[in-house]
Amino acid sequence: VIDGVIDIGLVSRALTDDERGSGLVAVAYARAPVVVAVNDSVPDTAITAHDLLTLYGGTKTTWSDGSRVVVLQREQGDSSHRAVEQWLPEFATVNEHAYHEGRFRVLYDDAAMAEALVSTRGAIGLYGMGTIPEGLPIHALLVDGMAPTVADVRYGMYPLTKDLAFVTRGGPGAAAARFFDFVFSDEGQSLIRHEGYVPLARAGAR
Amino acid sequence: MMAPSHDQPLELRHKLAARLGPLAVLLFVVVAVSAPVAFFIVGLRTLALQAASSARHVGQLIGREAQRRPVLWKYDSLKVLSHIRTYELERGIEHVNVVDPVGAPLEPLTHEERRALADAPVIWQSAPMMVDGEPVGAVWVAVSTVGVRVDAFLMLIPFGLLAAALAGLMYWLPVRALEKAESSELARAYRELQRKELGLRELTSRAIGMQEAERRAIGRELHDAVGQALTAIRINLQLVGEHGTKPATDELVGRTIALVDDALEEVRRAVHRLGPAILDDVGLSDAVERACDDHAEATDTVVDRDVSLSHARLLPAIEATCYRVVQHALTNVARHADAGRVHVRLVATASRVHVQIHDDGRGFEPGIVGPGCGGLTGMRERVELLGGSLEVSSAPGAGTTITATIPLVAGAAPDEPGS
Repeated sequence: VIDGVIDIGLVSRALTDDERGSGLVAVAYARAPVVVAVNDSVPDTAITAHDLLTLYGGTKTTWSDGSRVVVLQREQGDSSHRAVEQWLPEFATVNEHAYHEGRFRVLYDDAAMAEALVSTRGAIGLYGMGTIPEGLPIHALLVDGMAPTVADVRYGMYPLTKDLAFVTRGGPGAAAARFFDFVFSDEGQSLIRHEGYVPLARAGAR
Repeated sequence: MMAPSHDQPLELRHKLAARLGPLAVLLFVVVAVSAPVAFFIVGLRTLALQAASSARHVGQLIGREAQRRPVLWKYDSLKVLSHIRTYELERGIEHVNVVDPVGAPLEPLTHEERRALADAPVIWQSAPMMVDGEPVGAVWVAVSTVGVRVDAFLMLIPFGLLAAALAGLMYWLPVRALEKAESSELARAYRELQRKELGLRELTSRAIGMQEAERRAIGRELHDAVGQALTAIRINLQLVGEHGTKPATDELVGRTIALVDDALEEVRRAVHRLGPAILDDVGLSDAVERACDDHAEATDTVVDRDVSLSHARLLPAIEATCYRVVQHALTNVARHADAGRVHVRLVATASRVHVQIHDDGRGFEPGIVGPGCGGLTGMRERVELLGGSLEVSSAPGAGTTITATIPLVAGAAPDEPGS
């Protein structure tokens, strides 16, 4: 966006001061749950904060049926990880150790994470593309007893969320403004809900 | 080369050590250095392979991400590159970067990075980065060679110790074995040989001495008995002649006196040949002095002499040989050299006696005039029978030098330099 290659970028974290200094402007449009997802081979259905720390810390290596845990990580600075860190600050340290030791496989985007979760038995990872669509052989774990449903996200019951935003340089251009209008129209909001996100009301540019 | 004596060891150990020393050093160097050097070379090759493999790995990782959004691959690559740089680089990888087709790095190097890389010993390897089957750039990986260098250097320590042990054994075992042999069987055999040689030399010396004594006795007998009788006969014949007889008798007396004179001359010559009785009378020094005086007088040449005998008397055989060498040499000078000046040197040290006669005469070509000429062979034989040596050096126009060295002590080298 800064280089002018594209008009609209997508971001799921707050802009840094540098980025704002470069003239970037973020417009939040949806809130997404960060789903703690597991491959369907995993029998467990819920996870606690402590479990998350021991799994990513490498001390818990088996699921409740004794099968092996395969932890999948996103790269450092990923927004899903940040969402968990906001809820569970120790998670940052645990991840950092895992990165340094090269303990787990690292995926660099949501789609790759989804593919890895689908194809890896015993896998656990943070799924950041809204609620899990029907038909995928993965399922979400309850976090502290809460499910990552649209309702629970909307009412702030589910603890792991991140806000999705558009980024433009300066104000949106004419085409971008038209697109934004569509996103915040009823049709756009409906599409967002359909994809498993919670649409956010149009606010001033942040 | 110095011949060993009774007290000297054979010195074989030193000779062996002198030859084994360089070999041991070579062995030390080869063993100490070859393994670390081989390790270093193999290590460098492994590092290069590791760097190439890392470059391919990073290229595949970034390529997979880039594949999702080919238009934005440069931007997506930075995220992957940053994570790889922070966490995934194995120990020893100094730098990893992606360059576009024109060679510009995606993440430009800072000044410090550039300087550090320029200073660091690294191996660079690259792998192409493909997006949609098209090469869009290359991944470059720099691997540090410091670890391999340090490890190779550290390997020098154990291998140096091993090399020192091997070289030490290679040097020490044979030397020790020889030392043992030298101190026992070899030394015993050598001592036995020396003892026998000494006995032989003493025997020879005694034989020569006895021969000389016998000859001198015969000479003295000839001189004293026959010579005096002939002299008395001559005097009587002269008296007969003076008392006036018949002319025929006078003639007979005259002829007989001439015969007696011839006989007296023969006796004198025989006495002279049989032995230098002068040695018994005045000793070697004076005898040589007199021989020099006689030569100077007879040939009208200058004879310098340098006679220095520390011993009161040498063995009779040695004295006789020295005297005869001087005598023969001076005779040769008189006969062949046409010299104006002769230098005679007779010096005895504690262990050997040197006789040297040098003339400034016409000299000769040693190859043409053999050493057998002028009694040289006889001289040489006498000297060698006493364990000594005789050398003749000459060149046309450069005079002649005859040098004889005879050991006084059993086992002393006849030709030890610097004596």
